[in-house]
Amino acid sequence: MQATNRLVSVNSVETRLLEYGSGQPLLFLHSGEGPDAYASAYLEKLSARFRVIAPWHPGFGPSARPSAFKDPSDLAYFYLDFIEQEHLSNVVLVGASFGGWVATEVAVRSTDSLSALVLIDPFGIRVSEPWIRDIEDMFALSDSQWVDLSFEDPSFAIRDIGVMSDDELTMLVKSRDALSFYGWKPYMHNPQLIHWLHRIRIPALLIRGARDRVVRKECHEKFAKLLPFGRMTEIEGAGHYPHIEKPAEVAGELCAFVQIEASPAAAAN
Amino acid sequence: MEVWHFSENPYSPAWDRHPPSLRVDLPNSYFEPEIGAELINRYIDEWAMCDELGLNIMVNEHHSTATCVTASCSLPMAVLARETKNCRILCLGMPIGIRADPVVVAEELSYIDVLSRGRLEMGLVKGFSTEIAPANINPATVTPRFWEAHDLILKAMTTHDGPFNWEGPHFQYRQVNIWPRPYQQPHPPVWVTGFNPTSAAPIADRGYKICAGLNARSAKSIFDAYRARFAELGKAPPSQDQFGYLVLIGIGDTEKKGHDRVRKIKGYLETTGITSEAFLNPQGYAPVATNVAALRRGNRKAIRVDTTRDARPIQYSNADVPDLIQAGTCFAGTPDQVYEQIADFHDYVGGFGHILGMMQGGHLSHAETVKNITLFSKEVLPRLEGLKVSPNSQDN
Repeated sequence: MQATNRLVSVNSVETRLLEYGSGQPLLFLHSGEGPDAYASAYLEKLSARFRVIAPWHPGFGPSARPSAFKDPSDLAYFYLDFIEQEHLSNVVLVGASFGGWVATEVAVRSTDSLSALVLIDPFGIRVSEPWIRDIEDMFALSDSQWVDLSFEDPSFAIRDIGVMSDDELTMLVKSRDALSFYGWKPYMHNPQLIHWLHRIRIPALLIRGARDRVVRKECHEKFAKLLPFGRMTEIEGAGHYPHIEKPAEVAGELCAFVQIEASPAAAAN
Repeated sequence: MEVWHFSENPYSPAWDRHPPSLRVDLPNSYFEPEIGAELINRYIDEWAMCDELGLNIMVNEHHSTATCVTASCSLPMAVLARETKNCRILCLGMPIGIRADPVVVAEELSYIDVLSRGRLEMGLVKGFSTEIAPANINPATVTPRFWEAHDLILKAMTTHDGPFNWEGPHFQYRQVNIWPRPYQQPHPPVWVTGFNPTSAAPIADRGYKICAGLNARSAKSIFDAYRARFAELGKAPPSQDQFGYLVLIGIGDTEKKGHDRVRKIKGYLETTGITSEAFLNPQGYAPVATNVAALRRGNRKAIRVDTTRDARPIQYSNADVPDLIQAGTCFAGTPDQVYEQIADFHDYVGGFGHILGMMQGGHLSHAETVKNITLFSKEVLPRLEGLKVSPNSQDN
């Protein structure tokens, strides 16, 4: 399926987004490099059921980093403004990895336009003693070490730099720089966020790759437990990016969750 | 011409055990305290002898590494302020981009300036890429953080009417009022390192001394950009005193001895890159275009390509001495040869006023370091007085 690539401007902050399908809106907040990094099959699968809207976070890929932005809370307010501007309602908000952190920052602020929250191997909180690494230090790893750690099957991450244009490489580097900018310290979490998860009073699903070696399982278990209507499910044979490695399984879990637990009928019960 | 003796104070015994990484993640069990005590005391002695030899002193610092055990520039400078009487003492630099507290930096530097009765020269730097992980400073914001720390330090040193307020993006204080204040007024001379021509403008704008290093072509482009910026601002051309150049120096009674010495000092260059790509090039530290080029080369560590003066690519870690002389990375040989190389380089870059000479590095022993420093002081230094740019130097 062909995506529409659209420029959006929200309060003078510009970014681009990919849009697929029609129906109930699903806002997908991407992990590390962008919504189409490594693969976009998962977006296509979701578009069979949803109108999928997958922006680049401001500062990533094709967009410039807004000079006033400092941390993921700025991204959260940006997305709340975006939802308002686009007149979106009944939104299924999905975030993967870093995007899961951003999605959680959105949801603790307001769930008014949201019908459900889906977090795929999210960052955002930590639960252990200070000297325990709840989230592996990606900034201490070489590119190949990170791929080996984060994918169950590293062949999903094979990328031929030789065929990439300078523009594509520039977007890749900008995304990596933006990840440093937003997530360097405190490392990939907001120490206060864990205290406000009780505000997310909508159905929530935490999807975890059963072989995720980036985030400790204890951290995700606690995360799901602290979401008032949350639960965790695992995708077998996937690492930190189950939506890339197992797109059909993730789409299946997500659609079933929305259908059964987050539909208006489910809410009435 | 002012000449400054510099050593990174390496803990070279760890190098002999060939660990896969020398920076950030090398366990400190590699550091034997008794051997370290000998080395650190020895390096301080070598600096102190400069006072009698007409040389000045340059110190620096790195962290979590066997390439440099100076934990803070302030520490050897404080010791040397007491052990010396005449020479000037330069840190190049104080890594204020990664320092937690710029106000303490301002107080420590002022203390050293007072202790030495006004002999401090204040080099301010961002902090090398491998300092990002030990200090845990965001690499994507280290440059604006550096300039804000700079602004705060200079304001702290030059404010004498009680506390002032500072609420910046990176640093917040409501009562800044340093004691002691600097001995030199309005503040000690400031140096900043330039790594490429684009870094010259903000340094020239403030009239600070600029320091380039290890490569003649790069130094020429940086010094040219600095002079061009002065012209653009309508200022009189900068004096040679505004320009410093960091270089390895190996000098001996024979050419072979000089080359042998610089080959040992060159351990510094051979060990610089021995660390992981993630620590050498943290994401967000280098400009986007630099990283795009590195990705194209298929090596995230290959963030720059060095060249000789005639534009041949060169790798410092495996190049031999003649190529390194050609590149401007070292001056080496007999006193006559070293003098000729300096004069030639001086012409090539359009003049400069400070040689920051690494006369100890790598495994160069104490005895050899003493000879190296002494020979330079006795045989080369007197001839550098009044070195002028020859009229046809722009032909280079």
